[in-house]
Amino acid sequence: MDWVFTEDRPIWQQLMEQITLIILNGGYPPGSRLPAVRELAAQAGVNPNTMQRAMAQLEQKGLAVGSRTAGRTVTEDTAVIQAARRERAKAAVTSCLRILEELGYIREDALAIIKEELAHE
Amino acid sequence: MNELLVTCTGLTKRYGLKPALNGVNLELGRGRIVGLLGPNGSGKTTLIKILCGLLQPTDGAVAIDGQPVGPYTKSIVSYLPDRMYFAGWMKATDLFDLFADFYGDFDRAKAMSMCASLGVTPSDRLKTMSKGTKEKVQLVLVMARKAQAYLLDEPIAGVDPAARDFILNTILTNYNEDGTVMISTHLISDIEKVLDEAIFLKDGQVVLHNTVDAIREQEGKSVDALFREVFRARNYEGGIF
Amino acid sequence: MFGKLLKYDFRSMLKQFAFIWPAALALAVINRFTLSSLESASATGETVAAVAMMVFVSIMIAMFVITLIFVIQRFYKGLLGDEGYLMHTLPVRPWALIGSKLVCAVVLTVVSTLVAVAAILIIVSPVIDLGEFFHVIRWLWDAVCGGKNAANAFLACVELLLLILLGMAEGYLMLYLAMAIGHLFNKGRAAMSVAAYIGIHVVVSVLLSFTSNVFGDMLYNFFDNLFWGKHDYPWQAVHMSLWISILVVAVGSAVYFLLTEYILRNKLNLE
Repeated sequence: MDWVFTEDRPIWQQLMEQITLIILNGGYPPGSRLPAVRELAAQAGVNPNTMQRAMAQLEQKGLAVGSRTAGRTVTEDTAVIQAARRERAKAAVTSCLRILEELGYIREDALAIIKEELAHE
Repeated sequence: MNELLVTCTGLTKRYGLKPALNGVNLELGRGRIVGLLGPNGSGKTTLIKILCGLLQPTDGAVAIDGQPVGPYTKSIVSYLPDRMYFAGWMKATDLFDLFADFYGDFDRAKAMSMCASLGVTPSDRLKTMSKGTKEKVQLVLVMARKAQAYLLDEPIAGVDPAARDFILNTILTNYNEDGTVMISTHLISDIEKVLDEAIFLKDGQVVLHNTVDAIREQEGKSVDALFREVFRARNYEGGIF
Repeated sequence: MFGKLLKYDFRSMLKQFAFIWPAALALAVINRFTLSSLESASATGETVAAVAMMVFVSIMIAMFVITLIFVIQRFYKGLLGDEGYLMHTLPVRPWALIGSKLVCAVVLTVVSTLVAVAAILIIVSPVIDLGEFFHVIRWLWDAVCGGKNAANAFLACVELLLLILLGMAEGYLMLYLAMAIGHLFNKGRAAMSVAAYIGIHVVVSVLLSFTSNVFGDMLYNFFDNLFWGKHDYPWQAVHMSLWISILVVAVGSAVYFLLTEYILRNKLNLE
C-alpha cells in the first residue's frame, strides 16, 4: 500500500489516520492481527518509534487492542468501528462544506449542489 | 550502561585558524534515529570522525557510553564512511572474517542473508564489483553489527532515489533497537520520516536539536522546509551560495 | 587483537607476494641454463664470473626494490589512505597497527632475502661447484666455531641475527616516521614524506657527529681497550660490541616508533 505523507503535520498522526482508513475499509478485519510495529514501520518507511506512537493512539481510541502475548489486534467492537467511520465521514463533510463556503456556496446552495451530484450517480 | 549514549561538551576542532566545529554541545539518548543535518562544510563529517576516533578535537570533551574515545568506544560504534575503505583484492567474505575477528557484535549469518536480499555475491572480489554493489557491501558490514551507535556519513548522497529507499529500508530493518543511529545528510526530505530527532549544524555549531514531531507541531512545517528556511542562501549580502 | 592484525597483514602480504617468490625462483631456473650454455660456448672464466656477478647484483636489487615498495605502500595506503578509515576504526590502539605492519615487513624482507639467495644459488650452480662451495663454508665454520668456541660463536650468531633484524626494523621505522610526518601536512604529502625522510637522516647524522665530537675520545678509549686490551676472554669484545650496536639500533627504533605512534594517535587526519 502506498503511504502518502504531507509536510505540515506530525507523521504519527498521518500514520494513525491511514491505518484507521485501512481498518474501516476492511483491510484489517475486526479481530485480525495487526502487523508488528517494526514490520509496519519498515513497510511505511518510517521510524519505528513514530509507528509505535501511532499504534498507541489507535489503542487509545479503541480501534486496536494490545495484549502482551498476541500483539495488537483490531477491535471486534463494531460500535467503536462504526463510531470511527462516522467520525471520518463527518470530517470529510466538514472539509467539503468549508471548500464550498470558500467558493461561495452556503447552506441551501451547498445542499443543492450536493443533491445535484448525488442525482448524477 | 550510561543513559546517554553520546555526550559532547564544548567540542571544538580547528584547522589552522578556521574552526570546523565551534563549541558543540550535544546529548544523544539510546534507541533513537537522529539526523545530523547541515549544508556542506557545516562540520557534520568532522563531528562524526571525532566520534569514531579518526580525528582528535582541539578542545572540549567527547564521551560515548560514558567513556572517552578509544578502543572500547570503537568496539561499540559502527561507522559507514562516505568512501570505500577496503583493499580491492579482498572478497566480501574476507571482510566478514575481518569484522568477525575484531568485532564481537558482528553477525556473520545476518551479513550473508543481507547480501542475499541485496543481490550481492559475497564470494566475488571487491575490485570486480560495481560502485553500487561495493556501497551495499559496506552497508552490510555496518548494519550486520549489533552496535550501540551507528554513524552513517552521507549514506544516500550520490545514490538514485530508488536506491535511497532501499538503503533506508535496509537501515530500518536491521539496526539494533537498543542502539542509536546517526545519519548525516543534506538530503532531508528523503529521510525525514525515518528520523526521531533532527540536529541542525551550521558553521560548526548546533543551532537546533529537537524531535521531528515537535518541530512539525511547533513550526507547522516539515523539517525539510524548516531547514531551507534556516539555511537559506543569502543572495544580496555577498554571503555564501 | 595484535595477533589478529598480524593475521590480516600477513594474508595481505601473501596475497600480493605469493606470485613474486615462485616467479623469481622460476626465472632463476630458466636463467640457469643461460649461464651454463655461456660456459659451454667457451666464454672465458672471467666473462662467466662477470655475468654471474651481474645476475647476483640485479636479483638482489630487484628483490630489495620490490620489497621496499611493498612495505611503503602497505603503510601509506593501509594506514594513511582510504584503508585507514577501516584500520583506525577497529578497536585497536595505533601502536598495534604500526607494530603489525612492521613485523610483516621484517618477515617479508627475511623471506625475500632467502628467496633471492636461493635464486642466485640456482643460477650459478652449473658454473660453480656447489659441493665445494658448501665444503669451504663448513670448513670456515668449524675453524671459527668448533670446539671450545662453539657456545660463544653460537651466541654471537644469535646476536648478529638480532642486530640484522633490528636494523631492518629501524630502517622501516624511519620510513614510517617520514610518512607520518608527511601526513601532518595538508597538501603535497608525498613530497613532504620524502623531505621528512631526508630530514631524519640529516638529524641523525648531526647527532652522530655531535656524539663523536663530544664523546669521541671516551668512545675511542673504550673500544680500544675492548679489542686490544689484555684479557683472557677475547669473545667478550665481540659480544660487547654486538650488544652495544643492538642497543643503539634499538634506541633508534624506539624513538622512531614512539614518534610515529604519537602522530597517528593525536594528529591523524585522513582525507
